[in-house]
Amino acid sequence: MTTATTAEGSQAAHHGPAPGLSRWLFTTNHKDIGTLYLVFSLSLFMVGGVMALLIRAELFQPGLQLVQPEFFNQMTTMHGLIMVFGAVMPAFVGLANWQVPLMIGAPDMALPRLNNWSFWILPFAFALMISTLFMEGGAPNFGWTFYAPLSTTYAPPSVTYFIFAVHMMGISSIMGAINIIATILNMRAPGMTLMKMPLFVWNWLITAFLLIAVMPVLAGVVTMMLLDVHFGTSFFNAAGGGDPVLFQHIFWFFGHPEVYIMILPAFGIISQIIPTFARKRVFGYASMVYATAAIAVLSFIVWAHHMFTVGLPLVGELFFMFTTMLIAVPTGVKIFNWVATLFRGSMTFETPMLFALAFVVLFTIGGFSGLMLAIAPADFQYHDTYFVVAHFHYVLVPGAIFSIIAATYYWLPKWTGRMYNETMGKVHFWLSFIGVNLTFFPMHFIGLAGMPRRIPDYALQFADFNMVASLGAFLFGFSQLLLIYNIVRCVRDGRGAPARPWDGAEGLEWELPSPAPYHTHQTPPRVD
Amino acid sequence: MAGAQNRRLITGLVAGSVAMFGFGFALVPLYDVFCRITGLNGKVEQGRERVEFIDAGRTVKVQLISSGSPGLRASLRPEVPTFQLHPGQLQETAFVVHNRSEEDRVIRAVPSVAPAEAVEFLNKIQCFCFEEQAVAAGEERRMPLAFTVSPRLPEHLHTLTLSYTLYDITPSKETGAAL
Repeated sequence: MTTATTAEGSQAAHHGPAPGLSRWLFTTNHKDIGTLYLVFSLSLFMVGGVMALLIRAELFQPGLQLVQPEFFNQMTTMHGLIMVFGAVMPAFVGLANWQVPLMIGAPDMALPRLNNWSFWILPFAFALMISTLFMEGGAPNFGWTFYAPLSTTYAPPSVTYFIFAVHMMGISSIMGAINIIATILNMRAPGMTLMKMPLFVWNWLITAFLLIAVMPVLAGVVTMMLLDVHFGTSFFNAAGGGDPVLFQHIFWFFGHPEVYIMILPAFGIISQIIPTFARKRVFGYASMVYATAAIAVLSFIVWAHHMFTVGLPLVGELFFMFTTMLIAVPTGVKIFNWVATLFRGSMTFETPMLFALAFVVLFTIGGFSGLMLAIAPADFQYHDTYFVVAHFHYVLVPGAIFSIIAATYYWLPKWTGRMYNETMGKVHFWLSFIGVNLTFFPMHFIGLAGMPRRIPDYALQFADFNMVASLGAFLFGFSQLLLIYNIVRCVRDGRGAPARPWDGAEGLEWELPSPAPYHTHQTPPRVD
Repeated sequence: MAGAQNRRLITGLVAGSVAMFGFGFALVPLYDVFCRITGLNGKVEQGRERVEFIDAGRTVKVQLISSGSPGLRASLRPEVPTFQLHPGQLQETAFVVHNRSEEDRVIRAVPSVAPAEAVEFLNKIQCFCFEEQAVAAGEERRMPLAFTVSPRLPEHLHTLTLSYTLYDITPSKETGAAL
């Protein structure tokens, strides 16, 4: 893909960022908002991480040492909610804000003021959510999946705050998704046809449609909870003719597409990074697009594989088992395409590439344990054990989180105009890689042996593996401080980065100078 | 031009979000219909089928069980816990509810049949299910139940379980509703 040089000089006359705090409060600039999202996500990643370490510290030894079971439950719940809605999702939206306009040759997002609003709702939503920790009766303690009646009849009073926080996050995500779709569909540079779009943009386009389809369903289910808790309805109350299993159906109708919302943008990032450092075009571009679309469509008809043990009819178990396994096909297409891109490439192993390669390997492990869980008769053994915890952490931590870290290292020179410290980046990678595997790999074994999730105490036989997992968690957690330190040093006094810091990098964003000017692509570039 | 294009697209996307919010609520009645069609969840309709004949060739075991719910201070038990009967044969029995508290309570029993396949073949001719029952303090009351098992019951089913979960639905403040 080649582009005509853009006339960046013309914008010297244009205004730059507003001074002081008002720049961040009132900004409508996609780069500022992208930065806000990313910083917000990194902060909540640390908050959620501290909660994870509290959980692992309690599980370091059998018995109760540090926290009471009530507080432990609040920690597992808040850790899950904060990581899903506060860390992973905003990070991807932040990356989309920064990169989508740069990559498609648009001057900004389609709806800049809406963009400001979708970000600024989030701090308030999470202030509501986190404030519940200091309330009488404690924070939500029913798990991030908030199954009724645990989250209705037996919920702490703070559940109302939780419900409104979820409403606000939902509104923020939907507005963000609308903005991204409008930007991608209406603001591409001339000549940038849909099938010429970078894969990161393609994956985000599909993710945005998933968000619009399922975030309203989540809003619906928490609204039903609100009605049950405060207005005497019985959506999920069997005494009044409702059904708690209905909650699980509606929740997972949202929840399964949600897990793809957290992984499709990651696929996009990896599809940008691997071709760069293998110095080859991505293998099977069109099949990548179709595979993503296929995963998105299939995600709507597999939800009940989370509920094999609630008493589905046999036909239902079989249907959801086979459709779930079908998802392995398009996912396999993607993995093989990445491997084929690497094949005979001139690879170099800078930090983003290391994280991307670890993503491919470790996400595949997570995918395979997912296939094991999809086997309905076997799931009766695995259900609600640490095997499930191992599975979804393998797809979310070395999956989603590694891709976000890889994207950060990859585009940081473009954002800041400075290089990060490569050695520190590599040390960060190896510590994270070892930490992640030490934490989550033993969970497969203790899960298969029957240790239940969300319980603060466990049988003595699980002690050794739990100790290993806890040590790994602390290693992983504290090595993220290196990431923060590296970013701060990069922003303050990294050495200057050229416009194209990676010599295999292709795409419109690398045609721009580093750091990317406050206003870019004022005159749309031409894409041949 | 771009403005009009954006407006059209955004209208569509917002309409889509609103529609999906509605779809979440539409899942509630859809789920109910789905359960009735498939017999999922053991939700039973009453008196659907006229029984034509008694199939004396085989015997089916019907178990009656009951369970309470949290906060309940009343009990429910079947007079006779198990029956061996021929499909088509009418069986009359009763459950006994006992209010163990010192107050008048309103209770409701919600039935369920297991396995789900058998739901449509267990016909209840008379049942107290889903009805609000006012039970005075300390009162013990017999609630009659009459049922048949359809002769169309698939051969591989030998045991059916009819269970009742008892809920206390005494209104907390409202006047008039209780008793």
